[in-house]
Amino acid sequence: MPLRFALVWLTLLIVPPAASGSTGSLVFQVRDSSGKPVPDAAVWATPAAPPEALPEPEEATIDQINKEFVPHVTVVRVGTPVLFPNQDDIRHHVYSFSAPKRFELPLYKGEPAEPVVFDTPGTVALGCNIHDSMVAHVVVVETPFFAVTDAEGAARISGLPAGECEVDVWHPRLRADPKNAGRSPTVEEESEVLLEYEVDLRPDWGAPRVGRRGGGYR
Amino acid sequence: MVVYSRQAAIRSIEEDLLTGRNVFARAIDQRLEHLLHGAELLSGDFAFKQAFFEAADDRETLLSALVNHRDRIGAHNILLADLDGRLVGGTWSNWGETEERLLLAMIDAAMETEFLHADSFALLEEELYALVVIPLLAPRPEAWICLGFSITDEFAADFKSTAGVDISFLQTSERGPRIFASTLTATAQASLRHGEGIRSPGRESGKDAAFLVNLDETYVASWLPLTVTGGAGTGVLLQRSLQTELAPYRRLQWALIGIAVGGLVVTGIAGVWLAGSVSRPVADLVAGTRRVDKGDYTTRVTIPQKDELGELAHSFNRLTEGMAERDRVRDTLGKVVSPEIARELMRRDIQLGGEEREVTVLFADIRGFTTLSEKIPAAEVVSALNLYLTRMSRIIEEEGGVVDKFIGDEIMALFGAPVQHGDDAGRAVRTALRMVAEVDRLAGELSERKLPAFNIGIGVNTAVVIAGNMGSESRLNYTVIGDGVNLASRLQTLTREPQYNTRILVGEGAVNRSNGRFTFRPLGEVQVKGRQGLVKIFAVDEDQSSDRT
Repeated sequence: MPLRFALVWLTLLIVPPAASGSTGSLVFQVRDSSGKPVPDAAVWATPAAPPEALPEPEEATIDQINKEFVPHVTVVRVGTPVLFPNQDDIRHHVYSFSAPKRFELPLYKGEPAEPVVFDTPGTVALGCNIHDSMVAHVVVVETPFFAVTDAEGAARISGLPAGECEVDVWHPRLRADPKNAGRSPTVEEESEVLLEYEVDLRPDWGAPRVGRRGGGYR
Repeated sequence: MVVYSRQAAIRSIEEDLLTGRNVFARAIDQRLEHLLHGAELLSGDFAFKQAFFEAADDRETLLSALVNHRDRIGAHNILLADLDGRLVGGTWSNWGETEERLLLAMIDAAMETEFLHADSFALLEEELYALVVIPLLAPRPEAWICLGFSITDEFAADFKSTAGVDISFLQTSERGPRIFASTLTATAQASLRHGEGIRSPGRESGKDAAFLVNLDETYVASWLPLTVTGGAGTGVLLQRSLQTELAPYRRLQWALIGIAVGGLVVTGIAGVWLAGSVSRPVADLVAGTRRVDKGDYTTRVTIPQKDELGELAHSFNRLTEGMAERDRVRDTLGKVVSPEIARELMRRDIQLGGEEREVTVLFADIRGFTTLSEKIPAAEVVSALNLYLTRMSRIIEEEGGVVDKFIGDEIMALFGAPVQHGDDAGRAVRTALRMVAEVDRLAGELSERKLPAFNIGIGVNTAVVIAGNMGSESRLNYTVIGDGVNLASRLQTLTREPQYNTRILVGEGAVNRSNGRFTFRPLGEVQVKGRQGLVKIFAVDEDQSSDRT
């Protein structure tokens, strides 16, 4: 997938930037196989005619509150520096072994000294070394047009230039590429296009617990 | 009882086998949990995660960490595979396609669970393994960790010490069962391999029913099939020896026999003891009473026991002593009064008072006694007197008379009281005759002893008198009173008169009552002191024989 992104991006660079006319929106509704809305699904759209030069990506923040990463799924543009402020009284050790970004923030409190720059497209799973239940995902994409579905499984991407674009959906528990993947809807000015997705998700894995029945063994 | 106890033993073993199954399930669960525990810790180990992600460049570090962790947990083997189930590193020596497929199957099963855990039995490298798989989370699953422990004799022995039943892990096959681990003895195992009983276990009535197995001994067994990847027909055979189970029953049997025999012995001893302490004492008492019956009041029975029999002997002795005492009293009494009077007194309640009776009274007196006592020393006088009195008393008693009293040297005797003989007058007369003859004999003895002789005078009378106990309540005397008594005494005094020339004077009553057996010489009538009118008196000549009729 990264390769595809790169190719598309390169091709679009040759094409002169589209006129900055009106924009349209895409509305996403993601459900699972049983029809339940799926929150925390990352959606992004890559217009066929890319916009002109983009500004530097803004900082993104992933908080650690009550031994949880908030938000659970974050989408960032390639090159985005991400801050990991620790709002808890206890220290955390943030790490990831994912290929797009392998990093480690050894036990710390408050703000880390430096943000972590995600400079490679792909999906990154990160966690806390001493709290197994703390997991977050970062989807690094080329396009600035992205969103994450809410509790209703809905998300909106606005400001899209009219015209075709490629759309992708991703979820941490995605078992396989969703149907209608790689769609290319057409964005219309001043209007919304609703895109519905059905995703096949793996069951939610619980964090490993020491001893299934609680209490240790000798 | 043997049949019953065998059934009971089989049932008891069946219950234990059922418990054994539960213990087995629990034991396996615990082992697997132990492995999972360890694997989870490994999965959370940051350094290990690092080693995994750098395995492409540094495989040795990863392998050494794996080995280290295997040893830490106490598993037999450990393995790490990628998300596709391909081996990254591990301690199993042969890991081929079959093993890969097994692992993938376990991974698939794990993926369906909440915690991504799976466990299974598997046949690996000809050994029976219990395996667990868990993912290496970083923080998502990045690899799979597999830990296994092989079922060995040690595990089996551990199980037996908890559950108390023998356990064998085996796989049935046409050639006979293949034993992976067992607590049975080598002989039993050999028998198991060659035997037939296990070919189709549990297919008899009911899948879980217990059945009998004959190896080196007879066992009650139960079969628990296991699901083993790559090892169809594998299961767990739980069993216990019937002999061992019956042993307590057998011991009980021997104990009962022992008790029975013991009881017999004790009864025997008790019987003997009882004989000693009951029968013999009783026999002794009976013998004692027989002796008493025959008149031996000196007999005593000794029973040195502190029980009722001892008390009985004690009472018997006291009783006999009482009788002896009474005898002594009667004897003593008989010495004081005549035996007949003594008997009479003891026969009835002693009461004052008397009755009218015809009694013959005899008075005998020594002549010249006082002069005698002047000449001779007192001890000799008493000795002579006693000799005389003894002789006279004996004659009186021989004739059925009773010595009423001694008044100094005078004797008063009664004939016909307290006992009547029918011919009491005749007896009295005969007594008088014998007495004078005896005195003559006595005189001869006395002169030989250089002692002076003495003479005697006797008066006899028969009359109706009052006979009975006379005196006070505390001191009384059986005697007679009346005119007739006085007359007898007077007659005795009259023998002093030389003109009568007789030592024996008899009254009319006695003459009449003696029925002519004796010759009487009438001496006329005399005036008797204290009486009006004259009284006929008679003399008894001594030349007639005092014959007995």
